[in-house]
Amino acid sequence: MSRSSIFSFESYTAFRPRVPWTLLGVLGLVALMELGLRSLSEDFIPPLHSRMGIFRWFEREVIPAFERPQVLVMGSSRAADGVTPRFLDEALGLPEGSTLNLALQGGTGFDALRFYQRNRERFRKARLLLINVDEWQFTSRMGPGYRYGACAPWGERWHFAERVELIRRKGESDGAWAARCRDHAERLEQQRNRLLLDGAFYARSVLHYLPKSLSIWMGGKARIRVLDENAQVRLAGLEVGPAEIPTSVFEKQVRDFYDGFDVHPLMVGHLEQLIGLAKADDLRVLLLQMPNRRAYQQEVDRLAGMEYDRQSEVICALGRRHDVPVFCFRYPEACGLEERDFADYGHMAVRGSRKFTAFLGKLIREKQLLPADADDKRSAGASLPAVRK
Amino acid sequence: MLFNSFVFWGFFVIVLGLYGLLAHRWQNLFLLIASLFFYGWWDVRAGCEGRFIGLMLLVAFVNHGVALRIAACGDESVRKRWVALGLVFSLGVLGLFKYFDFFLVSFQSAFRSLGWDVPPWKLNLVLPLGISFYTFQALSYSIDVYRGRMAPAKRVLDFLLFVTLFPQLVAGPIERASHLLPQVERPRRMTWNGWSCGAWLCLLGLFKKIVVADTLAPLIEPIFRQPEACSSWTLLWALYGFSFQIYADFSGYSDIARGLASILGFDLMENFNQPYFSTNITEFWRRWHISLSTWLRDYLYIPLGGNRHGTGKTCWNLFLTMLLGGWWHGANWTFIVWGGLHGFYLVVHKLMLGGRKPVAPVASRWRLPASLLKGAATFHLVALTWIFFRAETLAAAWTYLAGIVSLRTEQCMVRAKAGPVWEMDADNVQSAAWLIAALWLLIDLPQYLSKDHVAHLRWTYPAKVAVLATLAIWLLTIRGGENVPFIYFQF
Repeated sequence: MSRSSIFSFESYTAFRPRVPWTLLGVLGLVALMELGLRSLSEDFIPPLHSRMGIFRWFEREVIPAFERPQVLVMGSSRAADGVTPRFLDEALGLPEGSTLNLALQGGTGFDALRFYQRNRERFRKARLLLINVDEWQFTSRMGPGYRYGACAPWGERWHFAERVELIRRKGESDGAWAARCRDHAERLEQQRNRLLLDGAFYARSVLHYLPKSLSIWMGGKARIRVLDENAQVRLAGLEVGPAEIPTSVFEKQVRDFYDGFDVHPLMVGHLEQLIGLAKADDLRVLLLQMPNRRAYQQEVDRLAGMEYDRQSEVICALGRRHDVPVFCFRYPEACGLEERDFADYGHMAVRGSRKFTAFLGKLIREKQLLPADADDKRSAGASLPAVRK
Repeated sequence: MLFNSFVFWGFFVIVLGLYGLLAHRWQNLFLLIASLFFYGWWDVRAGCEGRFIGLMLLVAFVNHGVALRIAACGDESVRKRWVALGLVFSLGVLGLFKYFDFFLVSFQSAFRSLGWDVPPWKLNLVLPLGISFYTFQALSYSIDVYRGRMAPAKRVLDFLLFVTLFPQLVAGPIERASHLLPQVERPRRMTWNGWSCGAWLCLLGLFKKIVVADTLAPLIEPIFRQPEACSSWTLLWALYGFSFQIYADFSGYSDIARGLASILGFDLMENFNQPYFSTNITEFWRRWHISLSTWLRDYLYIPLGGNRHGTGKTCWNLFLTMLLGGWWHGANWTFIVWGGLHGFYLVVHKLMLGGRKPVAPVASRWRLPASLLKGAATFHLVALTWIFFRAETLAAAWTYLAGIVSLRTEQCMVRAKAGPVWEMDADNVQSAAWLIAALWLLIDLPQYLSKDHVAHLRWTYPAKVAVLATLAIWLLTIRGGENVPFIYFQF
């Protein structure tokens, strides 16, 4: 090759390639760690009390205790605290142990779908599936949740960054809107990349649990979650909550949930898949959006009213598409709740949970949403309209 | 395009792949295009549609033109006029984009305090990324040509690449033309050693940025946002945290820049040299942001007279240099106070030394404890100045400082009903302590003891692999949020 040529390898004249032993050693150690973690039992890591491990704890400790559940409750921590299985059994006239509340802290549509898929044999015998939907479950920022990174299918990880539009604010200029959309698209790409890394390296999801898992394995103490006498795994233990909470606390919460709010099709898709599976198994499905503390909801209306309305529309549209009844409760009075029935912005205290469960039982009875028996599963209450209160 | 993003690494792999195939003159053209693309990525994203690429090229062209004129002219007074033109133009551009609004607002508030009604008005110009860095770099070239220390670049393309070379374009190191330009002009050789050292520096930089700085950032941010709600202990803890965050952030960037350059066959100057091991403030400034401190020394302190006109003048020159150095960081009184404090420290240290040169302590059993004590004192003096660097206003900095000095506890604040109290979570303190310990023990201490940034690569195979794997696994498994820009990008 002549000196005037564009291409040349002259930069490499001093390059003496060697076997990169150090790099190979490092890669070997990383691979060893990854394979080691993957081969460990999921009862060992993550620890069963952790946010990652609680899914497995439910499968190991809770679900087997319910031989033939009739009503399944799935959703987030607000449903875990807000629906008390024993009271719902009583309200519906079902034998004790008929309602199984599988709602999780940080529980998403993906978790609910995974619960159903992995325990389908047992769950298909149920009659009613009650899905609690929270606004944050739809957003790309929060919707993927703790367990999604470790367990999401590869296809979803790859397609995560496909265009998801933000909600345009009132009076927002074209430039500001375009800039926000650009930032949003970039954030989605970053999330997609992280999800791909999570899929390739299981260690990203569980390695930080290793010291705790080892300590528990060697007889150390673990925080134990309890299936209480009401067959409920509560997170908020207060009998009644505070009458007032400073608005500034709510403001941060609202920003966490609604800044860059979008409705991600994959997150909605998990619910669609779950509804499809349940309906295929002849379960009646009910979509529910539980109320928040009034003072908090007023902050939501003030700061993110459009976003809240948008997510309500999404839930109602989902119900219409699948012919599933939907109940969205914007304010607590609609369910007979007051401010002290909430431990915080939206998690119910014990008293609130009692009241809400009684209300829910009454609603299911009045609307005849619980199929009388297996034959009746398909027909009862099928075409109820979406209710927004 | 951030060094801590996948997009950048995709870009770099493509650039490296093509770069290696090209002959030297085409390599330079290709690197220039790649650097402009790298800069344009941010430029277009900021909604500036490439205008700031034009600005950067204009600064480069003007300085190159000035340098050519100076070299072609034998008359000293004409040469002086040309270099003055280069200075006025470069500093004018910097002043317009970075300091114009600051002056405007300062004058407006001064007039208002005199009772004059002045309407609030600002230009609100977007600050072009890296403007402080590339302006200084281009300026050093025309000044060096004026001083006769180097000849102007033979080809304008080479000079443009010197100014825009992407690893160091947006946050330094601020390279001197006498060091980098010959590397641009001569054919470069890629070597195995350059690659391995470069890869190691990149890994170090990414670890410092992603694992240390970006993990500390969200822990510290709420404390600096509402210092009035925090106890003295929490404020002090956050100050330590920020001291390490900014070090990890900026030195991490410099490490990556040097690593990338090393892979491409360039050698960039060291910018950090374990500054928190310094035992006095003068030593600190020989180890912290070396490219800026040496720039200020050569192009500001020495032209002001340096130490040639007696102690009083020397102290004034030192103080003024640091004051302006602080101001270089940003158009805010907080940076001026930060620089001023460092200037004050340096003056005091200079006066303490008298005419003596700092000498290493004699070997004795007190040597280590004395060094540790001096190191801790220097660190705390520096940490104190970070309050002004981090705070958005002087008032906020005073609130923070007063909060530390008040020695208030959480209980005191609750008893006094001083509003909501924000306390640092014990888990956060613990995780931050782990990070800082890892930074010191795994990276800084070996580098400091061996006076070598790639010391680890000379260790025995098992030790080397163990440390590298620890850093790589930590980096791989850290679960951060969004990609956080480097702090020094705002300057």
